[in-house]
Amino acid sequence: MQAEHQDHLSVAFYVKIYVLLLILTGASVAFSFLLRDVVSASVVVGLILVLSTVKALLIALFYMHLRYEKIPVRVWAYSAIVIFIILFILVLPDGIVNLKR
Amino acid sequence: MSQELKVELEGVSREAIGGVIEQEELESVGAPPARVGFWVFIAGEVIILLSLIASAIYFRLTYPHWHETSTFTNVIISTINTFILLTGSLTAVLAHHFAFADAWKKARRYLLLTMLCGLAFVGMKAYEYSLEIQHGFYPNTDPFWMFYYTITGIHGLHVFAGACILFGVWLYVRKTKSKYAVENAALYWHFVDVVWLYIFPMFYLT
Repeated sequence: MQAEHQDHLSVAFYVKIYVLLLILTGASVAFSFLLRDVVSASVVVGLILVLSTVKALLIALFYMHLRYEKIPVRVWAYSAIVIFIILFILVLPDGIVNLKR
Repeated sequence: MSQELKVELEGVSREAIGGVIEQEELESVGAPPARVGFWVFIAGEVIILLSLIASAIYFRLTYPHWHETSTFTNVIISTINTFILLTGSLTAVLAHHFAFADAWKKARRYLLLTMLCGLAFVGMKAYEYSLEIQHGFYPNTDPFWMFYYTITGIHGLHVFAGACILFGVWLYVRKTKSKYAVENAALYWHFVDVVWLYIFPMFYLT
């Protein structure tokens, strides 16, 4: 983390992020029960995964300080996600074949 | 090495040399080597755990009983565990914050709190497993339970490893005051937290 950003991130800021994470977790649990009979399962799954991704981004950007890292460190961090997406796409045909059975 | 230089180096304590090395940044990367190395390690871990989760997602698409079976998992315990992990993330980032502010007493206190969160998570998970086994849900009961025990088990081991690392760092920084040891322990904790954020909905909410 660049030293100049250390001062901006106060304890209060971290607590705000924590409260936001708890609210999003509560929303995920509530959606899974309240929307189960209202919309299709895939919509609920999609919505909850979006909320999970928002929470993961909050942790990565602010708790892991990726937002304040220099580009080479960010590249290391994001390379894992890129490799994972490539792996996911590589086995996609197999998944589609299974779906059609 | 000249005798003069040797004598000069011998006069410098190991901690002081460590401190100098710790503050150096790789010119090409703009970050200390300890941090860069740890991000490479986390990248490897992400691929291992996300690949497991991806295989479960593919299986979920083809397995019609996934949703019905997932209703047997314990949402209350897993929600409490999510709360524990998120609280651990807050205490971990505060440990990191205070370590960089040279407030070592507070930093060590938050490291210990994070470790306790890890142990609480593992304890709750063990209790949850015991309930599931009592109800007759074993890894070989059903493909859902196979994925469930494999993925949550590997994640649980990571949390336990995290708690051990935090305890080790808590002891280590007492004398060394190594900021980057605290930072890397905190990064590891956040990583296991992020992975859980995807495991939680996959097995408990959907």
